[in-house]
Amino acid sequence: MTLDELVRDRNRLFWTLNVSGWLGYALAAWLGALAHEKPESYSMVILATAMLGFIVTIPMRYLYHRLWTRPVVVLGAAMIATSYAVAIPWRWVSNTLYYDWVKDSWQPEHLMDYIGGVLGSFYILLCWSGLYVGIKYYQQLQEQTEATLKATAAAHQAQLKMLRYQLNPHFLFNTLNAISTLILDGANATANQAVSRLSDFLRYTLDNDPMKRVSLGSELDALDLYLEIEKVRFGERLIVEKDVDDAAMQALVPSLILQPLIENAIKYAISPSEDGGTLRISARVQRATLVLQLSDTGPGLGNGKQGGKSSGVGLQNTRERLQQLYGDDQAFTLAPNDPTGLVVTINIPYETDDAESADR
Amino acid sequence: MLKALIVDDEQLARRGLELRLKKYADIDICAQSRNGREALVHVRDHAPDLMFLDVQMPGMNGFDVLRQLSGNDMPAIIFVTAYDEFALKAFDANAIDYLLKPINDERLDEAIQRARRTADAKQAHAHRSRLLKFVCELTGREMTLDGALAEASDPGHRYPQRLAIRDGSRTNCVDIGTIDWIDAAGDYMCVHAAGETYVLRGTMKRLEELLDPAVFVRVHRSAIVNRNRVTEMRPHRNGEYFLRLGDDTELKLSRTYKANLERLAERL
Repeated sequence: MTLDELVRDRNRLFWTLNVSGWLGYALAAWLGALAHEKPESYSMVILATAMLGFIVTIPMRYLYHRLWTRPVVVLGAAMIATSYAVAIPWRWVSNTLYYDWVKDSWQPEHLMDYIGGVLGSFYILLCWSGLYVGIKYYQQLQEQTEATLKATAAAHQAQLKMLRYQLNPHFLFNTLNAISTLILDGANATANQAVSRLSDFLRYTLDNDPMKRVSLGSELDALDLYLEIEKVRFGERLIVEKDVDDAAMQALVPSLILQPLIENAIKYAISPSEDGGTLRISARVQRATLVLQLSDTGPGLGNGKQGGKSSGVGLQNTRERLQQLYGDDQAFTLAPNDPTGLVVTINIPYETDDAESADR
Repeated sequence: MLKALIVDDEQLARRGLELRLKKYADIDICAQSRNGREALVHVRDHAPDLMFLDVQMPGMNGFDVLRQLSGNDMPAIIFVTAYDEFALKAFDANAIDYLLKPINDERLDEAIQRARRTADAKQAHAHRSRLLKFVCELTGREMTLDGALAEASDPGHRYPQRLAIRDGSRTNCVDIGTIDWIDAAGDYMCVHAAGETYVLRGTMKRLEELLDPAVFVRVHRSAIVNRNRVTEMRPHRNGEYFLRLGDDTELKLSRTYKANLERLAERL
């Protein structure tokens, strides 16, 4: 049994600590007696006192256990009162044994002689109570911290999934509508192509684990599927330019990190403009950092009615996802494009598949 | 014969409706608009009876188009949308016809039958009233005529000088003098002032009582105009007249209000 398991099993921990604690008490008292050159019979008294101590503290455990949920003042008062109340009979028996075994059945004249040194016993029991409550508090704190950590981790997972699977229903229904037109129009080959691209893209978004990372190359392939579908809808209004380093193609990126940004750009930069616009995707490696950049020719931030709040949600999701995956090792910045539009820049550590593990 | 206008920013979406409408012999597609701006021009030029209006469009969306349309030439409207939870609820609540993309042929059939009935004048009035109520609800809080006047109360004048119209979180102060014309349907009215359109709840009768008769003249059961804005009057059949306001608005003066013609003519 490891220490960790012992700490987790409260019952076993109590008995282990209680036995070893009283053995320690006996050992310390015996060493003390040895130093004071007490007679040999005295060690029997020590042993009996320790055993008695072990026994009388067991009901104390159940008492504190019952009082656990009460206010601290009540628990504290109970600890003091109980320690004193238990100390008296414990001392009494211990003293009686001492007089019987060490002092050759000496009969004290005063009743008070039977509880002589009760204060010392009281302190010992108070100590025991303090340790008991302290350890119990510590355990509870540990459990709570663990539960909080687990909950936070689960929430992060769920949030990551949510952030990623926010496939826009508009996109889906408008695409289906476009495909339905292609069929009505007899453009079966184009319709068929659109259906297979749509299903490939859906599969990509559904199959990938949000905690896993993929190479930028395959991420861009999925993005192409998405952009080809959007081109069916927007026609010439959507122009896409790409500029990606060979080294950057191998870089690992969180799956579907770019798609929500592209979707955002289409929503706010291409769709509202009657003449459409241009999206530019670039990726390069600068020393140990992968720099991903997405620029559009839309109205940019703060300009136009729709900017600000709602576009902020899409960008905020990406920001949070990067924060959760990379902590402080990333940067997510927004800047105005020249002459108009928005440039979104993501800096993440440059890592490839051969470097250790794929998941973090 | 119903003249129909298709308004959608996506070419394939327009084409889809066009193909589907082919089988209706009594529907003639007079034009297709790629955005809200074009739609307003096409409505004026072609006076369609029916409009398929996409909600999500660049620039001016479907609801903006609806607000800008004037009473006389408001066609029957069938909204077309891909997915919009809030709008769908509002459509349902107001019994406004809408189609979901991809378009279901049976639903299209129902919508067109309803549109045929709307061609009847009384139905058209009810349809328009519903649309105005809907626009009113879209802006968030419903604003009443009396409320708008009370908020901008201006003692010392016989007639109110301003309207305070709340639109979402901001309040627009509209100078009564800048109102070009007002048209109404049922309990709702559109106030057209300086290129903007505000929708209020209130009756024509009450409005007529409130406005200075020296400036505002009733020309139709559902329209009042600012006589300073009328630039041209030309006779039509049955004693009706066409009134021209500025460059792009044309209103009809009905026979019932022929007596008011003189007051308009005074200024010309």
